[in-house]
Amino acid sequence: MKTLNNSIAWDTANALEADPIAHGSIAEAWPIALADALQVALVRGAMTHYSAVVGLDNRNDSAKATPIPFHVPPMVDRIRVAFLAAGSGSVYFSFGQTQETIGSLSAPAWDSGDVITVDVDTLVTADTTDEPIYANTGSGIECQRLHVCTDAQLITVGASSSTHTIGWLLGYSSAAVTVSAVALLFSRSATTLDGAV
Amino acid sequence: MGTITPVTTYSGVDLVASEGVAVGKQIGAAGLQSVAANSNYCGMQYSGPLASFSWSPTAPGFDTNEDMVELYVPADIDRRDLWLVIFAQSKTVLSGSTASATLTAKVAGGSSLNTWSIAYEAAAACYDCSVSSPSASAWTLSIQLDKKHAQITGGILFRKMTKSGDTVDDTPRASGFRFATAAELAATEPLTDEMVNRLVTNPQKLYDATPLSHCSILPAIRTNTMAQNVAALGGGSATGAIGLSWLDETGMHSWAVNDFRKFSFSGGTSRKLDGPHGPIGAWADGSHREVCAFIFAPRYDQTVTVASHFIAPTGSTLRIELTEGVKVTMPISSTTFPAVGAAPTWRTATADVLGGKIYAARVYFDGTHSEDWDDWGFLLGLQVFNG
Repeated sequence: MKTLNNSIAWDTANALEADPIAHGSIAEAWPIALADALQVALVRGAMTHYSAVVGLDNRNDSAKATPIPFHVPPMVDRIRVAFLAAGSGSVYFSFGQTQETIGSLSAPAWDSGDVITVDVDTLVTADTTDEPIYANTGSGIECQRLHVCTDAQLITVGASSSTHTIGWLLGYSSAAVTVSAVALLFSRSATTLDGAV
Repeated sequence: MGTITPVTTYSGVDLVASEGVAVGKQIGAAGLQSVAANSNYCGMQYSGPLASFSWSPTAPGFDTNEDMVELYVPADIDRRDLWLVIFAQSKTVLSGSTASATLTAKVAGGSSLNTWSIAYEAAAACYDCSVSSPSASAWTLSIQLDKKHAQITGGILFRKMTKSGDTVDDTPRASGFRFATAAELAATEPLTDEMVNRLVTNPQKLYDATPLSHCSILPAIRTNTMAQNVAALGGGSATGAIGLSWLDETGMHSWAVNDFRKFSFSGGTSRKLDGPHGPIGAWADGSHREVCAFIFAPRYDQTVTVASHFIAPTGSTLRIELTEGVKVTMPISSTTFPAVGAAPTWRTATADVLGGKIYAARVYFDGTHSEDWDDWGFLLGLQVFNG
């Protein structure tokens, strides 16, 4: 009996040409982890995020919100917004408008019906100096909100040669708040590996 | 060689419950075909961001061609196509050329990938292009502007996915990934371990060959004018008063010198961190401030690759604290800015990070402190990838 090659190296030398598909030994050698492995690959990709060092100016003006473009990995349906901020007040986030064709995508527009408002009062201490102050010391950031994107808030682009999804996060802060970094954390709403988001 | 039409959706068939893969039970062909279809789906769809940047509110060009940002593109042995999206606009200026600006994407030190024309006072719009068959080795994508009225807000670079409905051949990619052939997994066919191997090893091959971005810190560069502007304002001293900026000419935020002060010096009025540049090392009072912080959230314990483009005096180092107890020290790329269009020297290092938490990662410049802008450090790129 030949054994299945479960190594990383590609193996074409041990073809079990005579073995039927229902061979019992195959069942023993075939771990359920195979299916999980596929999902691990996907979920790992889906959980990949990126952050950008940006400054959401303290304009207190939605009309001048900073647009942050992002690409949505496949199988993602939830996005968390996390940020580092200093000061006292609120930070506002919204996901921008949609447009089918990227070539004619117009400027992202603020959607007042989908605002995430976070009071950063509780996240930073009173800041009377010019030192940057962040919300934590590395043990966890409270400054985040889960947002479940709808199709209407994302954009499918490149239909002529490829399909992928991008979106725009718009953000600004009230006058006494400075946001120095924003991250988008992607996840799936339900998988066998990690359903928590 | 055969041709495959990958499926367009991921099937969640439970192999244990419905297909009988438990010990002592037979394997049904349908279950294997589901795994094959899922494997193909992964090969087609597995993708994600490679780089991103967002500047608040914009970074204007200048009336000479400038590198606005340089993106580290990690090696992809399979040379899958990329997609670049740039968001830009044009605003009224009080001086300077009003001719159409040219937005350029190019291989740094190499050929142009695409150019776009941005008319004077053009509304905000997306400028995008596909990058076909990029280098299998790591390379740098440079984005340039040549007019002051044109302004970039942000952009993203990501790996292109195979189009739904495309047919692909099942010859192995360079990484070893190989599309599965469902017909060979039919109940009437013998099961070969070659076919099984495709399904068993594909996920690992795909994951290993697909670096994805964990984070991007990519400030605007404007190689030629950055230092000149600092010198003009501070007279060679970073403690000089805030002076004239591009604000007056572009009607927009000045991202350069004012930003240096905003995060680097006491006595300023803001702590904005959209340009991680500043003095090297600890201050006279012993404090050592981070030059920037970013959010870092690895989902799993894993190895990541850090790529940095750090310009600083000899003897300086770049320290990145990624997660608890995980520090990466990077050497400088150079003591001088690269020429416009030239490929910078990226430094890379790997680190084993802890997953499961969201961290405020921090970046420090280590070395001898000086307030003279000639001794400052300039972090022009910091990107972290899986693998």
